[in-house]
Amino acid sequence: MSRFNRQLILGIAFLVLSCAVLLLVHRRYGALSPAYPYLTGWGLFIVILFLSAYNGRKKLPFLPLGSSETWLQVHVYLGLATAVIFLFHIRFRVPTGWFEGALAWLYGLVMLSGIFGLAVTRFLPRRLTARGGEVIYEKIPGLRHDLRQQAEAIALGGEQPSTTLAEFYARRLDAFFAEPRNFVHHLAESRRPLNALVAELEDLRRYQAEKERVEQLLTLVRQKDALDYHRALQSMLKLWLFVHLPLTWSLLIFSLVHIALVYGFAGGIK
Amino acid sequence: MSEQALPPKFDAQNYARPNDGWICGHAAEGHACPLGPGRGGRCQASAECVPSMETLPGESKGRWRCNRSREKCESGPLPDGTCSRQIPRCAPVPTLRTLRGRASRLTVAFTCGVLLTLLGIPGARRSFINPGPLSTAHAFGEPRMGHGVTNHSACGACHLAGNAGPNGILAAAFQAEPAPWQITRLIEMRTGDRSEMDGACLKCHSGHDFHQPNAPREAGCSFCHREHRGAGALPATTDAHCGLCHADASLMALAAAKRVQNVSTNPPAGGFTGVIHSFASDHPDFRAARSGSRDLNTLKFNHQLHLSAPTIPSLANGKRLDCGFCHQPDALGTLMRPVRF
Amino acid sequence: MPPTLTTIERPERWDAAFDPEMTDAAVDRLLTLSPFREMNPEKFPKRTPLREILKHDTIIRRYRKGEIIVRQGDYGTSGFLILSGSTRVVLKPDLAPAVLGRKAPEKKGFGRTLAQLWSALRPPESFKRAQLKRDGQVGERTNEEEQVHVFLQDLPRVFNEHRTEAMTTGDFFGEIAALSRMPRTSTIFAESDEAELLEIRWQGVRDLMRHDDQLRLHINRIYRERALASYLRATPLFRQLNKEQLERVAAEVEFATFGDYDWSGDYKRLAKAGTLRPEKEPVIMQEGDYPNGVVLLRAGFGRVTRKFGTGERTLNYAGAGQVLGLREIAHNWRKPQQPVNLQHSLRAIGYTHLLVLPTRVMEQIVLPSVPENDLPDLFAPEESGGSLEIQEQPGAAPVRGDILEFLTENRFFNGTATMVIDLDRCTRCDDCVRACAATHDNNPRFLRHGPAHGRLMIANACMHCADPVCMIGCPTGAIHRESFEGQVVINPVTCIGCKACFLNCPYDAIRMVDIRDEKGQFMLGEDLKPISKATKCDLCVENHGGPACERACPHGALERMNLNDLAAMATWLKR
Repeated sequence: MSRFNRQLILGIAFLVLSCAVLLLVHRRYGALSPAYPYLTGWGLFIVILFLSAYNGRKKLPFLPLGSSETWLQVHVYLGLATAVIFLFHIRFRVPTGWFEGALAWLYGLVMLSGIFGLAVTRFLPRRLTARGGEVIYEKIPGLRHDLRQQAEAIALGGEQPSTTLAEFYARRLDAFFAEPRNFVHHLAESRRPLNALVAELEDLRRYQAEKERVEQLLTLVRQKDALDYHRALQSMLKLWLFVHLPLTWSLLIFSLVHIALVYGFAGGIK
Repeated sequence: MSEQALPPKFDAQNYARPNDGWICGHAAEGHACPLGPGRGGRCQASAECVPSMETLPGESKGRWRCNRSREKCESGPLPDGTCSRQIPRCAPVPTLRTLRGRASRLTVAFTCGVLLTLLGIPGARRSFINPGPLSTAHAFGEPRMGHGVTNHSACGACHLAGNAGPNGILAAAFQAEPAPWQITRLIEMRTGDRSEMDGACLKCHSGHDFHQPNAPREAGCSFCHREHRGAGALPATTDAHCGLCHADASLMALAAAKRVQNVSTNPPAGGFTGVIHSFASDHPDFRAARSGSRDLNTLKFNHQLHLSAPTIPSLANGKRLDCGFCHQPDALGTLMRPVRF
Repeated sequence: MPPTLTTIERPERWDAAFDPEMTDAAVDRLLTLSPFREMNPEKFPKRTPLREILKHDTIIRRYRKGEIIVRQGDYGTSGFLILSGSTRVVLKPDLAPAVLGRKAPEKKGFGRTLAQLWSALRPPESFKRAQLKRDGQVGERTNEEEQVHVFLQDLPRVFNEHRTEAMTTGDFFGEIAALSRMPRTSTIFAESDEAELLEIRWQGVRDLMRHDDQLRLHINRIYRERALASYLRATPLFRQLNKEQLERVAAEVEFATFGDYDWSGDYKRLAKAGTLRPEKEPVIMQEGDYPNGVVLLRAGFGRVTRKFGTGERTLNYAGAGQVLGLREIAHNWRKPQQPVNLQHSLRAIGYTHLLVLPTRVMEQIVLPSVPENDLPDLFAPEESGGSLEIQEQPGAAPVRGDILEFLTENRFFNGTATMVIDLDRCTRCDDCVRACAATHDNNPRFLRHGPAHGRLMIANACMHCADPVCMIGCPTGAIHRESFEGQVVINPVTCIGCKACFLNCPYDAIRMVDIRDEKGQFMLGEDLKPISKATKCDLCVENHGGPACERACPHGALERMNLNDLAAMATWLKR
């Protein structure tokens, strides 16, 4: 059996098992036991701490702590299992009150951003490979600058600069080459903006004397588009963590305060 | 039809350093300086090399020689020995990792700030941490939780942490029973056990010993009566609550064995110790509370027909007929009022 | 308009002489010395006369007392003949690694491991001055030809602590390492103050051997005595033979070297010109020929091909330890009435060094000793006709043809720890590069980029080749092979930045860096030139847990893979 299939099957088996175990605990202690929310709460907190420890593992690659791949598998499936613990912890009741509501929202956002990240890391790489034009993210601004200079030289330079070409460049291509473009279209795998631009250029080529220069511009436009595609998808592969990580910190702080509040208010009387 | 793009030209001579926090500001123009930004994003730009004076054998005057590591520059050093290629200073750009670190730190700061503020201001604290409105009975005549609440001291009527701010809440948490580190004690708690909070109920409902004298175990008040679930009446007790004891055959046997004489009511033989699974299924028929009293109600009411059949028309206000329409508790809430129609 | 013809000078064997400054007078002098004096120039063909061999394939080197000539463990491509003076071979115990320019292979201790937590604070490529202190036992000097020679400082102590043996005028050494690409077995240093040695590069040794009986017998004898006996004993095919039979086999084995040792330079040139094709590679075994010997690949790589259309289709590549032709010979021995010819051709890629055991010896001595079950399967009639699908053919590689071509064209099969990245799983997160940096004082040692074929990318990280061409020519011994697990490592303390390894590596895996001090400013030499050193992946030889890159990839996209055979690749592609 392939390694990835094995991971998937183990993961799902773990999820099913953990649901079963939780159900048993639920029956044994009963949702009505006063200890139940404490037990599920501590369980949830400890699991979330362990999930957060993955960030620590990534910062310690020089210690033999196990491979990052294993950690990620544990992180994903344990993370999914927390949904079940969470639901049992809140007793399937939508929380009322600002603090508990915020806490639940934070948990939900961290969970959803995690699932989003999982989807993104599994689906986007294939698209990047299929598109070709492999490029390292930090080098993209320099390459973009390079393309822009080349395009400007072709469109605006030469011994006999063409006014049509120059005007077209100023109107349509300058903005295109100046910045990363079409972020959303690239995420949606839509070629519409590129096709539109190519159509305009081909139209130009039909009526222009210097067909070769338009050809060169076409090549550059395609290269720029591939660069933008990489930038868009690689950005998405990095940006989802801007939601997942800061909110996890927030969740951890809220959880600590929650523990203090619960014990402070339910632990005794004045 | 997608055609595979070719990878852009690639500099294999130098390492790419994604581990660095800052990128030279000139990288976006394609010529990053070899020094790179220092810690904290300071531009360290200086000259490209340190020229040295080279005197060949047989010459009296020497020449300044370019000392660049890759290849010498075309212009060579200036006559005074300084490098002719000074690297212009740049504004280093933070990498995404650095920005992410900033976002995390900001979020932490913001969270702590918000929490400390909202927990620190008495007025805000109460509305912030209150998990739900109090029942009307316990709200002591105050308006519902929401805008314009002014009495900040009410929490202390029941809760240890009371009206305290963050320090007080922490202190109370450490004095809690069981304490936060006593997790094994949680495992020993049984459903229905008295919790610490139940002591608060007894402050007003003193002597409200649970149930009949022959009840074999104490059940905590909060087991049946949940507070902070909304204004109005406390949520109704359910079959599961009553069934904690009444559905447990061994407990009922214990209770029957105690044979304590009940004082206020007219119990059947053996006390109220039949095993009941739910109110609707096998609750025994009710009887009059005082001995000698008779049910004067002449209404023979077919409960099944009126409460379950789909042909029963709705009431005037659009609601359907339910138990509470006829069966109302008395003022004290301990006994049911007779149904008089 | 008729197409213009592009003509270039036909490349000749001696376009790049070993020593461009070798004079005819020097050659004349050599011809008066033994063993060249005894050689018969008539025996040498017109294309490679003795005079020309001496002129183009040799250099006269002069060593001062104590200078190291060859280092134990180095890879070299030259043999040496002592013209005047004497040298010493260090026998027992071996010289300490530090003396030879190596770093002692120790894993980082607790303190250094923990200190890596703060590695992100270090400037790029920074060193503390104390780290760069050299071992006091050796020194360096640059001679008139701008070559750096390393010399032992304390010769009396070397003589006291190590058993050595002298070699004088007329002695030959280093030829086995040159011919078979094995690491040098001992360290040899100059004893007299003006020792004069003739360094003969490998092609010269080969040709001299071919045309001079004395030299051939001499080298053959040494080879059989020293290099062959233990190797044969370790080969599974000969496990059942007793001592006498092994000796007979050893006496009959022929050894041969095909191709070109300097293949890295040629390879880069040919790859750029696009003229790398199987049909042009030297043929070792020809498909369809009568199998007249079993070929055991000793070092280097060969390409296994089959005729396909007008060309040759690559089925697989064969690395060190592989045996070819055995199946055909075993079949013919058991079924002499239905003989088969060689099913594939074997061509040398780069170079190969192999042993050939004639069929006669196989049939008389070896095959009878192998248990029936261990013999390879007989050929079924349809197998030998070439009518099977390419994947089902005997000897076919377990991966698709286009991937096989990609790996072979780029010579990636050389790698024992090639960095393979699955682009369909890689999220371009750079965790691998960061992990590499964290374990190397904040300096990544590879580039997450390289030639790609579909979803398979071979990143620009040192592959720790089976045939490490980078190791040839290091003047100080800084680049060396860890004897235990075989990682190729550069010792930054002794590296002088001469760029020999950097220029040699065919895969651009070595990069030169300008080192800095702890404040982040470039360190300059006394001549105010920046000090540069060669750097590359060292497979985290000092770290606990193995290569950090592999362990740091969250998606299982990166692996350090041995490509000497394709089993690992086949498994990995299907994981």
